[in-house]
Amino acid sequence: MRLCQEQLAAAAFAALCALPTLSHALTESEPLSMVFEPAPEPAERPNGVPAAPLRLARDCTLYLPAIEDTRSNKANAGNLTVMMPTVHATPRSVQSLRSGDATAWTRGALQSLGRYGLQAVPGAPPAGDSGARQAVADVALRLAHAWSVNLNLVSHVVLKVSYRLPGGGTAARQYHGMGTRTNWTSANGEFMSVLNLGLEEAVRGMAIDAASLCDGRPLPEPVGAP
Amino acid sequence: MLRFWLALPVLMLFGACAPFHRPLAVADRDKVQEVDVRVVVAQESFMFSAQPPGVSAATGGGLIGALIDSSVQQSRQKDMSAEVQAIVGPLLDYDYRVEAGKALGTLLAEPSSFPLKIRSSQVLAAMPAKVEHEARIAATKAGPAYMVLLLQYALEPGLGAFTTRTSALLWQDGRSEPSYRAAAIFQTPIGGTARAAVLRRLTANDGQVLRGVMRESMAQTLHAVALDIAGARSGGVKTARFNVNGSWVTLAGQGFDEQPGRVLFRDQDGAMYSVRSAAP
Repeated sequence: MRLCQEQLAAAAFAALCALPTLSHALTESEPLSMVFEPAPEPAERPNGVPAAPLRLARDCTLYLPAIEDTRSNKANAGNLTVMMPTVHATPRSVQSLRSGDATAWTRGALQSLGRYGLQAVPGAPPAGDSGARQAVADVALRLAHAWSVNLNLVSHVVLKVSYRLPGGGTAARQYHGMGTRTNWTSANGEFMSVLNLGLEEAVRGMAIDAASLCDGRPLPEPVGAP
Repeated sequence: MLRFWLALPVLMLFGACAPFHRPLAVADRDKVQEVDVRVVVAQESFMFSAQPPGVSAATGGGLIGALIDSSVQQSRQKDMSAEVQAIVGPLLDYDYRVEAGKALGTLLAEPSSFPLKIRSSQVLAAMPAKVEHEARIAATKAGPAYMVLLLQYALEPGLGAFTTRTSALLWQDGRSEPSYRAAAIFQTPIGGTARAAVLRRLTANDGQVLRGVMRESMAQTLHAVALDIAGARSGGVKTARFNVNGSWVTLAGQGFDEQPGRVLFRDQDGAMYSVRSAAP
């Protein structure tokens, strides 16, 4: 009986590890759903360490006159590439991820700003409403890219945001988000999930700056400017 | 049964070691009248990895090593976020596909630079779907041959070098197996100074240096494949410095071409390298 259990464990272990290589469950005929689903907040995680949710602002309204998809290639959102882990590795096979409606995806992520204490409102602020505790930003999705690295999936998402400052000026900032998770079956849903992690991180960076504007503070300097 | 499962990773590793290079037989080369070339660049920007190739071997190899790597990599990948923002952000506006297209155009302008007559060439932003790909291969039975270059480009960690890794595959006569298969790796050093200085140099004058490196990588890859298809013989042993995930190592192989400042050689598995002869 003990041997049987060991056999099963070994079989499951080996099969599990081989899944990303053998299954190729990516459904290339179907675009990714591009439905934004935020990762659970720490308090909502079943086994998460209790932690206070990140509240950046209070009673802050973020107006969003424009939400656009400005990616250079709107048809795709990454790739599943098989490469051997050798010095002379080259792509053995490549499958491309088809992208769904990325504008709706970005809009959905911006709606999640509420978790940081910002109320996102699509459209420009009402005429004459220049009251305190508000910010205005035009948002463009610049990059949404997911790929496989051995047993993991990785994503990189970039938002380009142009803030309309009080007094008529504008200030542009780029927010980068990276996602990473274990690759079990290379399924479309897994790629979507890692893209969501990347977008969520980019939106969080934007929320920090928008909260600063709501508080009447200047925007922090861009991160990583050479 | 247990032994089978334990042997599975070993078998997979043996499979991984099977020679990838398949030279084009003279008889097959003579039968190709025209070829459609497609360069597949299926990435939207620079990809990055916290895991060096071969790290599994360093952790004992096999699946356990791979799983440990996977966990370590996820953690390191998150730590890289700020670095990626600083490096990839300034480079987002430079499109490898555009530069590769220009290099392909230059190649077409000089028909003698490729041993096969190119009927059409194109840089694709995505790998064609399986059905479409298989249909195109089947169409080689009564039409032009079909060559696909699967190309991946990267900046090595620490900005030491720019690297492209390409698999070149040729189908003809309706056969599902490629008649030619080769790996071509291009690398050129770009670093040597602080990160900010490297980025400024790459992006100055609308990215003149970076765009030039991108075009050169495509041109060199096509040149190496052209020589290989033409049957270029290997000569004396050459050595060159090569950057593997931020570390410089010395590689050796048999040279098959030499150009000013650059050496082309094949390693023992037939993978072709085009590397600067003077590197750190």
